[in-house]
Formats: sequence, structure tokens, C-alpha cells
Amino acid sequence: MTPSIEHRLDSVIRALSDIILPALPASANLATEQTRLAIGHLKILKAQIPLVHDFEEDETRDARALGEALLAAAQGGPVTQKAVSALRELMAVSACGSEINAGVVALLDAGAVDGESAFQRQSVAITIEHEAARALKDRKWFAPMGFDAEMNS
Amino acid sequence: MASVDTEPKLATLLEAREARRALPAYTPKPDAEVAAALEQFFRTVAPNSAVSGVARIGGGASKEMFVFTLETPGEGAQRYILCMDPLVAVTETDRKREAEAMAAFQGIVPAPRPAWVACNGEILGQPAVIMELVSGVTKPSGGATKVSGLGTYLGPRLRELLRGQFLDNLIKIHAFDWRDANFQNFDFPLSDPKQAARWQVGYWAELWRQDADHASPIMVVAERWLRENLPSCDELVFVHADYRTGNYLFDEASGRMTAMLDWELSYVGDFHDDLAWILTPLFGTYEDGVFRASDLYEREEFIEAYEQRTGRSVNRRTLHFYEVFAAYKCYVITAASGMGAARTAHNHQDILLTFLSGASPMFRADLCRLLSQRDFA
Repeated sequence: MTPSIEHRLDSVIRALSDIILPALPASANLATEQTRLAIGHLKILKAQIPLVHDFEEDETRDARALGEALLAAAQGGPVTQKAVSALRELMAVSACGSEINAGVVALLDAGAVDGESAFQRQSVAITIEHEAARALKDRKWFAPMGFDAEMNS
Repeated sequence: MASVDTEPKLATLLEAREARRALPAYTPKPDAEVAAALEQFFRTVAPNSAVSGVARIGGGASKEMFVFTLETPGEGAQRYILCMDPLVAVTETDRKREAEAMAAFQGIVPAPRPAWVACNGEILGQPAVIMELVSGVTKPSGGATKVSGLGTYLGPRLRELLRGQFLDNLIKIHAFDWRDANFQNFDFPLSDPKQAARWQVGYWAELWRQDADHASPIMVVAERWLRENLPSCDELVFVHADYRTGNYLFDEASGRMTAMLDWELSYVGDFHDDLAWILTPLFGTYEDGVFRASDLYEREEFIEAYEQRTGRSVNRRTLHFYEVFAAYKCYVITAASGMGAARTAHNHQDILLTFLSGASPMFRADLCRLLSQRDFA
């Protein structure tokens, strides 16, 4: 049996909060600042760990949706067609989100070389639409960090 | 590294940054080691002086900073700040250049006085500048609570006291006669009207290229948009490039601004860049649904005040370009350069840099919002 990751993280947080932080001298302001950040970071990681698998699967689904939308619109010369084939091959296997995004970026770069002008325009609109939706999910994911006024209101 | 179309002095820095990538992890120096190094440094530059009270200070996300006292015969004790590059920071800047900018603005706007520049690793192997310590705080010490977001909340009293100074000093920086300043560490974008913007995009795109560990479709679209929409600059001014609340010191009781900080990104270019940076949502506050840039001015109020005071006309298309660019830069810092420095353990603030990466989706969203605005598409 694996000892509970949640409880192990709790014990690290407690050690930092109750033992290490109070023991730091008032003059150790960087150490104090970093200890507080470590505690905050660990609390957020603890909350995210059970959700990471689903989050990454959702990222991959979104990358795949962007890839499919771009493939449906792609028209252009040999450089674009080569990138289309590469992205299709990538999506035919179980590539992860970051691998698919690399293929998407290669297609966007290729489209700039010899993509038809309609594809160049559409690819911008498609990318912005998909990335905006993905960014919203990522903002919610990182909302506990407290940067995002809109997500925390 | 292919030749980057940016200010030549910055291109040299970027080449050096890439070369440092393979270096082993950076270990922050303990105070005692810094104290010994400072004593050795001052034996040469200020013989018979004595260093004491060396202590690391927090704050900031790029340089290592230590406060210390230097006692010099006949001159008494003076407090200084040692500001030293880590191996890799969230941006790539030059201590000589920053010191030159701060020195140029002495007597014009409140700025720390650089006392010694040691860029060849004379102190601890890393480039460093030693500045006179200026009293003041970057945010209220208590009482005023933050409404929401990352921006510093000043509250009504300090807002009223600081907003005029904030604008006055920005105007003085933009009015500075850089052509007569005899700058040695800046190059000037004089070859064509788009060069100022092109050089800046080139610098930040290269940072992205060096540091990003993930492919980002929106960054491809954004960089292309920036390169296709470079604005002409009719009037080259000195740009601070990190002008916002949080980057100046003030006296809490009187509300007097005591020093403008963080001159490291300054360059000669387009004043719209400073305006757009000031208007970046993350650096402002939202209170009862009202956005205030740097918690000092509402958006249109700030633009109109700047226009009235300077006689300049703010070109909304150019401002939009620099707002896209501000979001692009913030994404580079939070999603690529900060994470890159932490990944290679080349910085003393790894935990802060990885924490800041949580802000990156906001800039990605901002890029999407700004790039889809039809008036500027």
C-alpha cells in the first residue's frame, strides 16, 4: 500500500508552517517569503493532484479539436500539405496535447509559407477561438493562486 | 543562434544567455560569503572602508539583492543595495545599461544613484551594481487591503497623493533628451520608423525561442500579428519599459515618491509602450467593477491626462499594438523565461518563478481577447 500522498503533503505543510516558519529570524525575509510560497504552492498542488489526470486528458481533447479544425480548413502548397500530413499522422496515434500542439504550430508556420490566403485568415480565427476556450479552463485551474481577479470574484 | 533583429547590444546579451544554458545549477550565496566578497571589492575601490550589516532582501523576481552599510573615513556610514544577476533571470538585461539610465535621470526624476558598477564578476562572479539605498515602500504596509488581482492596492489617500507624481515622472522620462545623454550602453533605432517596435519584438521573440518548453499556437499567431502590424514611431523617446505601481518607492506618511525603480528594460522607442504596460490589467486593480491602472487612474482618464499634459496624441491603433505586445511579453516571462530559469535551477527565486507561471493563462486569454478585436484586426 502506498502511504497517502495527501497525508504526506499535509505533514510537509505542517512542518513548514508550524516548525520552520516560526523558527526563521525576522531578518530572513527571503527565506520567510519562500517558505510561505512553498506552503501555498503545496496546498494548491495537493488540491490539484487528484484532478491532474482529467485535466491533462481535457487538454489533449482541446488540442485535438484545434488540430481537427485546422486540418479541415487547411489549403495550400507543398509545405502546407506536408505539415497537414504530419499533423494527421500525429493525431492518428495517441499523442498527448503538447505533441499535438507542436504539430499545430508546424501547420501554422507552414501556412504562413505557402498556405492559401483563406486558410491563413481562417487559421488565425480558429486558433484564437480554441485558445480562448482553453485559456479560460487554465485560468480556472490556476485560480487558487490568487492572480486572477475575474476568476476569484 | 541566428542573428536576431534587435538592438545590437541586446542581441549580444541574448547570445550570452543561450551560452549559459548548459551551466550547472546556481547556488545562492550565503550572506557571509557576500559580505566577504564586498569587503574584498571595497579594499580596491574604497580603501579603509568597512562593510557591515550585509543581509539578503526579498522582493522582485529577477535580481539577487543585499542591503549593507559601508563606513568610509570622513564620509560616515551609508546604506547601499547590491543588485546582482543570478545565472538566468526572467529577462536578459545589462547592469551597466541600467546604471547608465539611473545616472542619467539623477535630478530629473527620483531614481536610486548607482555608486559602483561591477559587470565583470568582480564581486561574486556575476554582473552587479551597487546603489544608494533609498527609503520608502512599494506598497502600503498595512490597513489598505487588496481588492482583487495581482496589482498593488494603494487606497484612496495614497492614490490621491501619488497619481500626480506618477504622471509627472512619466512625462519627464518621455521628455528626456536622450540624444544629448552620451549613452554608451544603448543603441538607437534610427534606420527606419518601424525599427523601434521591430527591435523590441525581436528581443522578446528570441527570449521565447530560447526558453519555451512547449509549443503554443497562440504565440505563433501573436508573433506573426506583431511582425505584420509594426507601428511607425514618429518621435523616439526614452521608454522606462516597466513603469507601474510596485516599481516605485514612496514615503507612506507623506505620499512622496522617493524613487522610480527597475530601469533595466529601458530603451529608446515609442511612448505608447509605457502607456500600454501601465494599462496592463494584471498591474491594476478592480474595485466595485472599476479598473484602475496601477490603482491610480481609470483607463480613459489616464490616456486623456497624458495627452493633455504632453500635447501628444495617443494613437489608438499603436496603443493596441503595444497592449498586444505587453500581453505577449508577460506570457514570455511567466510561461517561458521564468519557468526556464527554474527548470535549469539557474535562479535564486525558482519557487516564485514557478508560482508566477500560474498567471500565464491570463496573458494567453488577454492575447486572444486583444487579437480578436475587430477594429484592429
